[in-house]
Amino acid sequence: MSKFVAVENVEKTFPLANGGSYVALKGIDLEIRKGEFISLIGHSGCGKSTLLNMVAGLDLPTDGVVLLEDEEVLKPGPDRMVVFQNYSLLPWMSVRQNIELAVNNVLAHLSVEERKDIVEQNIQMVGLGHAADKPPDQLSGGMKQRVAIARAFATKPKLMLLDEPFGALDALTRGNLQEKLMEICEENHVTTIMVTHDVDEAILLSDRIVMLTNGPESKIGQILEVDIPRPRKRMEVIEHPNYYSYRSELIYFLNQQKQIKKTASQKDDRRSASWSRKSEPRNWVCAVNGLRSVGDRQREGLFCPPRVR
Amino acid sequence: MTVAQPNTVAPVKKSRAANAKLKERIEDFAYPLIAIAVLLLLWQLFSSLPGATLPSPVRVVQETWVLIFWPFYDRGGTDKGLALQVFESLKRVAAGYTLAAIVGIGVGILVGLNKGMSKALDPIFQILRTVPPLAWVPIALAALQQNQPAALFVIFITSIWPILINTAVGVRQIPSDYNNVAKVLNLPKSEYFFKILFPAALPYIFTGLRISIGLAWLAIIAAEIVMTGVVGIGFFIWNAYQNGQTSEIILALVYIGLVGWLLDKLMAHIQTLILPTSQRQ
Ligand SMILES: Nc1ncnc2c1ncn2[C@@H]1O[C@H](COP(=O)(O)OP(=O)(O)O)[C@@H](O)[C@H]1O
Ligand SMILES: [Mg+2]
Repeated sequence: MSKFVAVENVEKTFPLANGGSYVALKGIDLEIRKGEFISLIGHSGCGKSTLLNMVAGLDLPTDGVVLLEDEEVLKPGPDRMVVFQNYSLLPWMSVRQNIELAVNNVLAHLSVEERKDIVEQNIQMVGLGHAADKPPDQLSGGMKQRVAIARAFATKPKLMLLDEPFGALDALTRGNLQEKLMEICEENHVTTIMVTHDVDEAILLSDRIVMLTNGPESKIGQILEVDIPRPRKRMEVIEHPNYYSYRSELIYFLNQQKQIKKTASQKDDRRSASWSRKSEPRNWVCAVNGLRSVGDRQREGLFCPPRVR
Repeated sequence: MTVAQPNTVAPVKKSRAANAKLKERIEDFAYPLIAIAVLLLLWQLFSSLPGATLPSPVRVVQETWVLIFWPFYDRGGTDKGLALQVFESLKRVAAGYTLAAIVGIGVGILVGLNKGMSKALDPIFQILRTVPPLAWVPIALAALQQNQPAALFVIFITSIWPILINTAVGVRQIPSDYNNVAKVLNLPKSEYFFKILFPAALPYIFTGLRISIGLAWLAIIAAEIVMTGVVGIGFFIWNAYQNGQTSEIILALVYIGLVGWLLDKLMAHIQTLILPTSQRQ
């Protein structure tokens, strides 16, 4: 029972239009326990969506396997629901019809009444009772994302896969939805993998945070265990004694990757090495700006970042 | 005074906005009317020059006022009012166009789903698409022997291509998001067809239908002109030409233009009724 999902030595190579190929991911090993909440974090283009799609079965690894309960994932299926970054609601159907399409197809073995109840329950769960008959075009971004989440949860999947679910939302809406998502995940005991680029979001929601290095040949650079008791509340999480060290560990990793990217591109430009040294302090300024809300006590510690394990 | 200001400013602003809108509306109507008036004036001027062959607008109205005021008269045979002539032509268009829509959408979906078929057939479609309606008339008459079915065939064959080609493109360009939803849900084929494929391709289908309604109208005029003895606006023009009634030809042209314009507006309206906002272009 210990490993629910296993990603074993996975590699993904994309053929390129010019005849060459691009190795996006290489040597990815990851085991996920049942009920765990995992975040994937890394710079844009490092292969987070690619990894998520392979777990979903929407794409196959060029090498290695993805196992779900010891069975190889070869095609997409309703036991692994995906919440896509751009919501992927069907604009010609109302909110209710969008959820019904999922429920009626995936839970076809249930009676009509039971399915109806599930649809209504999930509409209520995300607080969209008043908008159930509206088409997605008439909803705000946050409401659309709530529909997408309701659609995914309504089918009672074993595994939830979320690709930057709150990336396009304003801070307030994002905060509300993060808490809602946490609530729903805990209630349903669903195993979840979420792609994000938001450090605070990752800490708030995850049991473990998987950090990916830059491509090509991205691999898992580091895994951070978030040992904060559940149920979590945003304000309490921020007050937690470990919060700051988690946060700076993530930021340190991301900055380090950014640095590598920069030096790599500078080598391409045949620029002098001194330039990259000069730019170093700039990155720390960025990190401080990112942390300002957390408080002075925590800001101080930034200048002695924890070493990579 | 300063306290009252916000209260007085708001309504003034509002009525100003309303005024601007009203002005815009009036301009929308007035400008085209002015343009038409200027054109008519120029026409009147040029047709009164020595050696002019076409009648002036005033003479057109003088010579065709019976046709203008009695569009529904019926003296049997092909001697009917212009509304009835147009109605006959529209009936043919409706039949040929409906057939083209059914076959075009059906074949378009098949071609869109099948890459090999699409590669094989696309050049043929592109070539046939450019054959003008009038060029189809002799072959239609030779093959079908009779006026009525030949007219329908000409409408069908001219208007099917945009529907077919656009439908195929629409099916090929279904956003991968929608296909991913279908894949994750394991939608069965029929469910995929009616809930995803068809609605996702609908904007393209409508684009095709809208181009085609114009072509169908174009085709019927061409077809009827060649087919003697049928009731219809096309033959009406030809008949008028043979009798030297230029004014009647001009009046018929106005009818044809108006009907074509109305057909296009009708399709555009149906489009906005059916498509959700995010799918409209
Ligand atoms: N179908 C594809 N063909 C070629 N390259 C691709 C394809 N999909 C993704 N890539 C490349 O793989 C890398 C990882 O992409 P992606 O997983 O979308 O990154 P992320 O989600 O982390 O931003 C990127 O460099 C991207 O350009
Ligand atoms: Mg991505």
